Amino acid sequence: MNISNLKPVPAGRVIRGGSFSWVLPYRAGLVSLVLISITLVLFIYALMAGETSLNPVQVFKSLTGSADWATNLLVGEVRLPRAVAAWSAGAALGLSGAMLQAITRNRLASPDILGVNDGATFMVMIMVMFAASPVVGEWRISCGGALLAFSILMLLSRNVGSHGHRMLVIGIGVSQLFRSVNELMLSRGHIQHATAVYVWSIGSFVGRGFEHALPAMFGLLICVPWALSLQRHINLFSFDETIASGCGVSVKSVKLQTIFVAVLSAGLGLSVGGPLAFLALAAPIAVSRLVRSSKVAVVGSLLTGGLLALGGDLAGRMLLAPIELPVGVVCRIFGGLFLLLLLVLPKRNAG
Amino acid sequence: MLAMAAVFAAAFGVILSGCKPAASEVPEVGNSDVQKTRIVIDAFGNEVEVPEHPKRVLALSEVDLDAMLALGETPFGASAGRGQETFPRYLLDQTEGIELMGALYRPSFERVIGARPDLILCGGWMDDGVEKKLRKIAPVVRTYRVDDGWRTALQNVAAALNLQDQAEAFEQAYAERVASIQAELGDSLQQTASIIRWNPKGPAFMHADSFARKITGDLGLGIPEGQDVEGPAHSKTISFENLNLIDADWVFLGTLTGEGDAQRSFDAARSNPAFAQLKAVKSGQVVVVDGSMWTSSGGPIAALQLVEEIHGALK
Amino acid sequence: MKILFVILGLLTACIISLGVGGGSVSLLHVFDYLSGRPLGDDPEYVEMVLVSIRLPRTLGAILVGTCFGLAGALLQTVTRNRLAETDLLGINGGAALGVVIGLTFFGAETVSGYMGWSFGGALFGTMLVVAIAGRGGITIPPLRLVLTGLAIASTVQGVIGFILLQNQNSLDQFRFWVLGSLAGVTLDGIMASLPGTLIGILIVIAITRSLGALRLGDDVAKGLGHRPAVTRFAAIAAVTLFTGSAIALTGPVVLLGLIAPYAARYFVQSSMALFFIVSGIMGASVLLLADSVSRIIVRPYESPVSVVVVLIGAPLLIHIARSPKQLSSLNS
Repeated sequence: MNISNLKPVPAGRVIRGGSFSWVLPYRAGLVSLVLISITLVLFIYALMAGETSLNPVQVFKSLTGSADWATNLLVGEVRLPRAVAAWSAGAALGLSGAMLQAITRNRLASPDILGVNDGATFMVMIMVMFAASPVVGEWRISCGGALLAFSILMLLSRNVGSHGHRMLVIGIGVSQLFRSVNELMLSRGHIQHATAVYVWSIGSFVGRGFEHALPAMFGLLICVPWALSLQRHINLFSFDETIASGCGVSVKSVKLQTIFVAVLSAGLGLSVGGPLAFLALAAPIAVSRLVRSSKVAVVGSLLTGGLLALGGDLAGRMLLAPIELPVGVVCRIFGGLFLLLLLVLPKRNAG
Repeated sequence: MLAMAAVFAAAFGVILSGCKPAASEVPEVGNSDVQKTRIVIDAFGNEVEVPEHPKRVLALSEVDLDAMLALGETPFGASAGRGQETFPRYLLDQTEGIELMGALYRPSFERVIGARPDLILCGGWMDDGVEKKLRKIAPVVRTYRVDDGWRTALQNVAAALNLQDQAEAFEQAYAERVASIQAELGDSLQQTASIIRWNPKGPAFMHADSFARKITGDLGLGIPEGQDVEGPAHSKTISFENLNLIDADWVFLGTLTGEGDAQRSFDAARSNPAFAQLKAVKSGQVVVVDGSMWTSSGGPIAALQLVEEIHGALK
Repeated sequence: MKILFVILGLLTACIISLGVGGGSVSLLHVFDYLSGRPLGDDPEYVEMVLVSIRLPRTLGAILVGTCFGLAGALLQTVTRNRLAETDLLGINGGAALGVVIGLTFFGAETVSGYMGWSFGGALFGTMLVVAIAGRGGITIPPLRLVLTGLAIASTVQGVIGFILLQNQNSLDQFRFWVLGSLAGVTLDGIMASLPGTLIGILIVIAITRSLGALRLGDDVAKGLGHRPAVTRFAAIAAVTLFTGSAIALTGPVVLLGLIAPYAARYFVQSSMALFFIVSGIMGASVLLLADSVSRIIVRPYESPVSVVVVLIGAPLLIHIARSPKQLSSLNS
């Protein structure tokens, strides 16, 4: 699935000024705009919908704090923080997926398939079992777990990329290994630990809010500009590594930076509401179909990831109301089906 | 020091409520005079400002619900029993009119806000994020820690509701009942008892600080050798080869299966050769019990009911 | 000659399985029991442990191990993919989902009660694999097939998670079952699983020759008078029977179908029949040893055997995936 997209026509308008030239990606811009508007609509809907449904006027009033007590609380303390948490988790995961897929040149690479989720769960469990006053799913823990899992994977698969599906299957192996070590530790630990870790590992935004979203948001503030600065170099890779190094790019450094950004943002995304399977996989693929370009789309993937998480959480809340379906379960079911479709349907934009 | 802190917190609370225009939005608008408040210290050491006479109380754990009912109060809303779709099975005859607030540990915020509570009682384990949100809605009293007994829960619930006298009366009644049973049964309480959860892959026994273990302790029933493990929950699944670990003069066998069909699991257990060798089985001293009450955490009413069940079995 | 080693290995594993456990009954007791000597202080207990606990467990491990070993060997032969295995392809997940549905909504409680659900689920899983693999013919790239299995497995996992969440009190009942454990296996359960397994073995015997011919390609096989489509269908049916029977008895045992054929290839080079036999025996031996480890690892408590198998299987999976030679050599 190596991408060497050599379309003669650039997907945008070329702006030139002296020695400076820049491809203005108008299609990508358009897609971003559309994504932002859908996200906004969904966001407002998420504030309106629920067991007590509100109208837009009430929502607006409550955002300014001038609605009645219950509405203010419902929006300000429950629905808004939860929507923000969901969006930031999804955005971080989307970004992570985009970077990973680009650097491995593999459409199916995503942190969860590569074992990052189970690595993070492993760290969370160690924390729960051995810390004096454990906080399940703190961002440092899940980032540490993500880094650990990915380091093992890199050691095992030697060179990242150009291995097709090999790295993914090795990732599945690493996942399995983490999972069984987790189970082994759980079977030696206390039942309460088992419950706490199990609840975390499902993935849910119930009771999650600004304080949980904050690390991810802050991380995004660092990761997004970083990713954008790497974006052009990564796109050069998609032609050829030798060309890239010919253009004065230190291939190794860019790769390492990209992986670091990817793993960091995956860990941050996980920390908000637990692992969400396949979100990081789906977001960049959806964007590349929309933009009709196989270039790495940092902003687009981020927006799509946020949109998907927000939508997934909303679906989990609404589909079987009043029973609530955790977003992690929604992601597994629909994400699994999505991956299945992706594997079964004929490829359109593979090089 | 504590008193000073309490005074300070009270003052702070007054200032806060004074500068909050939303104070007039407190439910029960008909009640024009501003509700008086008190400070209570909960099981986690939090100082909570609660209304003098709370009217819309939510009991967000089965023990809180149990304790409130034991005090003769009916909460406005409560959460479902552990793993059940509605209130704990053993309380169902007393829960009419109480609104369901969602699953245990996962209350529905929409419903909680809709209930406009003026006090929330929730003991046991609670997710940090959920707890913080609940505090925004109404004062939250964390009534007991996971390994506290029902007495602590009852006392803290009573303190929050300002019903200490009723709590004392209940404890008195409980103590009297235990004493009368002890007088009646005498030496037959000098035996050991196992409390187990049956599972086709092997049973688990209740640890020494668990709810049911504390009740058997009150009555004087002993813990079999090897089961004296600290902890509020149950052990891991025991290997069938080590089933003698759960042997005792009496075995109380419960399951958590949906409808509490413990009899079926007893039949399954009896077909197990290792189980059939236990001396309690041979002497016919295995008692099938409702696992949802015996092998999770229960409140005062459950405690009294357990005492009666043990009495019924041993007499 | 080598096959002798394999059989000797199985016997050793059986003896270890009989001689190791959470209780105080040791290997010496096994020999005493077999030779009819007195059984120490508490002969009743020793006999109960040996006959009523360890013997069913040992027989159960042999049955389930054989099932997963054979299912793996069949799948690897049909798909020409050394990573093909019931768990990696999502078939285990399908069967587990079937049983969870039966347990939760239809009150299935015994092995014979699970059986129908397990078969149904396994069938669903295999049908999905066939539908997907069928699109690309049998040449669907090995690693891609595994990813397809992952997609199926995690969709199924999501559905199981959903069911468990709605029925939390079943959670700890399911925990052991979903992970696969041989604790509590009874002779009744084994008898319930036996028919499906035996039919599966008969099918394997019937199609071994055809499968051998298929290795040479469909055209050659047709020329030799075999019907490739029928053979594949029969193989899939056998895989369904094996997976369904095994999972109803113990729950899914992950990656065993990967380990057994891999080990079998060390002993068998060319003979298709021997490859299947040794794969079955290897599956049984590995499961016996893994179960023995799982009994003593948290004595006196139980730990799920599947976890121990994964500790062997996952590194093997990584190893196979890492070496292109392993994947590309398509024989057997």
